[in-house]
Amino acid sequence: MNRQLFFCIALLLQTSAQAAVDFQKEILPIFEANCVKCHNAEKAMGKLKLNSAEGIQEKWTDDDHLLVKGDPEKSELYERLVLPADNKKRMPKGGDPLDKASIDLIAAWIKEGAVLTVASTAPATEAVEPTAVPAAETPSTPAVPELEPLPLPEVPAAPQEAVDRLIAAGGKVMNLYSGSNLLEVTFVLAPQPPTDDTLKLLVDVAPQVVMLNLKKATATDEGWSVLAELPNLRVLNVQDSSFSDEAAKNLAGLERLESLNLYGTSVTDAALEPLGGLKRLRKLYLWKTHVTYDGVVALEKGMPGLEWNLGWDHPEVARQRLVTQQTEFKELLNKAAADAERLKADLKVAEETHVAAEKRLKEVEESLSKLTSEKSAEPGKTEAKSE
Amino acid sequence: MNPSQFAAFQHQLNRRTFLSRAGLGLGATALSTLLDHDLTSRAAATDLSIPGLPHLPPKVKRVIFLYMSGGPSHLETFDYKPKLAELDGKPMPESFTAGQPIAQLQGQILKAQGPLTKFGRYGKSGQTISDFLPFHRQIADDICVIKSMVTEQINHDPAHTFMNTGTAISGRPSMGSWINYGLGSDNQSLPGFVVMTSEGGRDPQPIAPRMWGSGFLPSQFQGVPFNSSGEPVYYIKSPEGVPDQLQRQVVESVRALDRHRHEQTHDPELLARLAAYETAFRMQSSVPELLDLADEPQHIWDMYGAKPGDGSYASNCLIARRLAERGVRFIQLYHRDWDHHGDLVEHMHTCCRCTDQASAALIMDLKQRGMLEETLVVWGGEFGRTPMFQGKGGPGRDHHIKGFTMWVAGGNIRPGMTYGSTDELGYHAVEKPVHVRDLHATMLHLLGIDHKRFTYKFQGLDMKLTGVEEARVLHDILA
Repeated sequence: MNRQLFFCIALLLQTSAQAAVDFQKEILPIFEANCVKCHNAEKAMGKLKLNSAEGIQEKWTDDDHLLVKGDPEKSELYERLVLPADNKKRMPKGGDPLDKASIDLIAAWIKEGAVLTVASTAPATEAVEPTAVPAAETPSTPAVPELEPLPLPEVPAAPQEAVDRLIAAGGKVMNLYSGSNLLEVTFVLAPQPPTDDTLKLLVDVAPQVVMLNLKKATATDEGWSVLAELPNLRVLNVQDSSFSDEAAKNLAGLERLESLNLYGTSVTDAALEPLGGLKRLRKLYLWKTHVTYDGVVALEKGMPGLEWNLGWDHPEVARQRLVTQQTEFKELLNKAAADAERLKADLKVAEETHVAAEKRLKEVEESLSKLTSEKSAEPGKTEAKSE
Repeated sequence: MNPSQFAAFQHQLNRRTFLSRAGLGLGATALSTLLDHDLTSRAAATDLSIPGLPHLPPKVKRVIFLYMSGGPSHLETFDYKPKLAELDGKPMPESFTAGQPIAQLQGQILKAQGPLTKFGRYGKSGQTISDFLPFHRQIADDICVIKSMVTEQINHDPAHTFMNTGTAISGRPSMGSWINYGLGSDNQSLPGFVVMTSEGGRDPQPIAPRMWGSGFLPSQFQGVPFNSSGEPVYYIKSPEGVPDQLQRQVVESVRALDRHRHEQTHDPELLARLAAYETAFRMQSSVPELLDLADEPQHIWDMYGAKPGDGSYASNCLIARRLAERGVRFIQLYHRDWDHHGDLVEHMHTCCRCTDQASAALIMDLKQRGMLEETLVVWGGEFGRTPMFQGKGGPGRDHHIKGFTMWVAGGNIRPGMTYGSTDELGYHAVEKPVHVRDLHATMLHLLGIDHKRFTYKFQGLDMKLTGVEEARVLHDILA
């Protein structure tokens, strides 16, 4: 832990005695009653732990906007309590706002300096590196609706002849796991890309197919219509195929679809429309397609939790990456500049001290030599002088 | 011999006995048919796993293990310890070191060495990443950083053996072989387990081929090393003047001889040899196609920071992606430059320049192709480095096994997560320690394999990758 922080905490501990609002007795209980369900040592949503002074300090150390001493309005912790109810950032998330008395008490506490009294048994000087934080959630992302995971569908075994026909067409057919009747069907390594005729074969294993890879398929829009008949499909990969906006319409009813790979196809924003109602869709791959950034962002609005990928080199994605880096380097620059300023100031002080010390040393030495010469000049020499 | 092989073997014996007793001279013919079937059964069927596998629905199809050989410092990559900075140059508290195994620092005064670089927090997840790894910032929200790894071996070779085989005893099957044996390869024209070792950097330490050996498993499941530059695979090019047809005839003749020999000895290794010939023959065309990187656009080369034919880790990452696309089950990339006893800062710069960008690019490239959700990527070495100073040259660190960092990504691993922690000086894994066995158990779990039930009979024992001591699947890091 750095000295500055140590100093801060030492200061806090010192002042805590005079504070009117007692963190431990008055503030912490509010957090415990309303916030610790999500902001505890284990869960720590947004990396914030409100279950202890140390927990708060941990976040505060990294984020000085969390609490701004004396200024509740600038303190995120307060700010998020008083946002309008429809704002997604309003805390507690999804619950009623805190009662006014509690909010006022927190404001008063921050006004008084947001003093974190620390339990006497715990040393307050540990700035612990936040660890084991399941940090996937950030406050800014809208809450992902929790869907009960669907149990795997119970289906009869696929007819062997149907499986054999798929294999003959160059496919690989695998049971999802040993003893399961569910199938993964893939044409990734097929000598010939799948065609309409190949796709037709899927009808006979329609209930069984949960994972399907039709990479490089050269089917017509009519051929693709077979997809609408695969009710249990969970993962569909049609990368580098003839898959089209028209073909995408067949996906609208695939309620179990979780992952859709359209990479390298000619689909446009129109292909996203039929996907809007797929509640379980979590992954959507759109690299090297004609889908636009705005289009997919619009889709995501209605589908919180959807992860889409336009590719590393997509102009908007690249731009955002550069903006992030810009921020990083600006911060670095500012930090370096601040360091330089501080060091310059230190240098100035040191130089001044040096000059002053030099001057003082000279004076002292002069005085000293004067004294010495006076001393050596004492009785006899004075007499000699007087002569 | 696995149960199915064993059954086939017994069946052969019975048939052979029957045929000879019946006085028919057709034993050899019958056997060769049978043998052919046995050999090709796994190749022709599309279900390539051994019977009973996978035990559960797999989350990933394959593993890419980015093996940072030599032991990268957790204290200069992901595990930031401000307290260690405070103690810099002071004696290391004995409460940490008393009775602990020490490698090269034995008998020396142990001094704390503060972090030799700065750290920042990146991504929405606020993952802690050191300034040595600027490209990792871009994948901060894709990886799960395990900061509480522990291993049992403090010197390189045994520690490599431990990481690869789950035991320090030489000669056991490597994880890649276990997985290749259990699940088979999707692509019969390439080995199911490919190993590449990068060039570049400095002073690469040796790594024994034992690390990708198959031990007591049939030898066709061992890792096949591909060369990073020059001839990608030795001896698969037909010699000058030998056309394919002639080559095929040679392979057929050898097959016939091997079959004949197998009839007499019933040595399962002959089956492995036959399989190896077959794979090698197919590789004569599949490998040139695999390594013809002309179809990779310039922006992909730039993304990885690779140049054609440079043999670098970056090129190997790009090839790893191509291997993954072609159905190879286990891909292991060694970069051997992480043993920084001295001049750590300088060597970290070298190492990270070689690996940082390409590791991040591999994640992003797999992701944009939709492959990350079906691939487990592991990054890490055989151990970490001491919080104590070692000074072979400038400041460095010794081997350290009681707490170090690895990261995993892909499948249903929770992205942007940190799991476990070391103590305030980065010495002991104190919170949720993860043993190498736990890593193996989790890897198998992701592939749909229950490590407790994944056994192979050898010398009267049901052998397992995870051994007999407790190994747990890290369910907390899985969504």
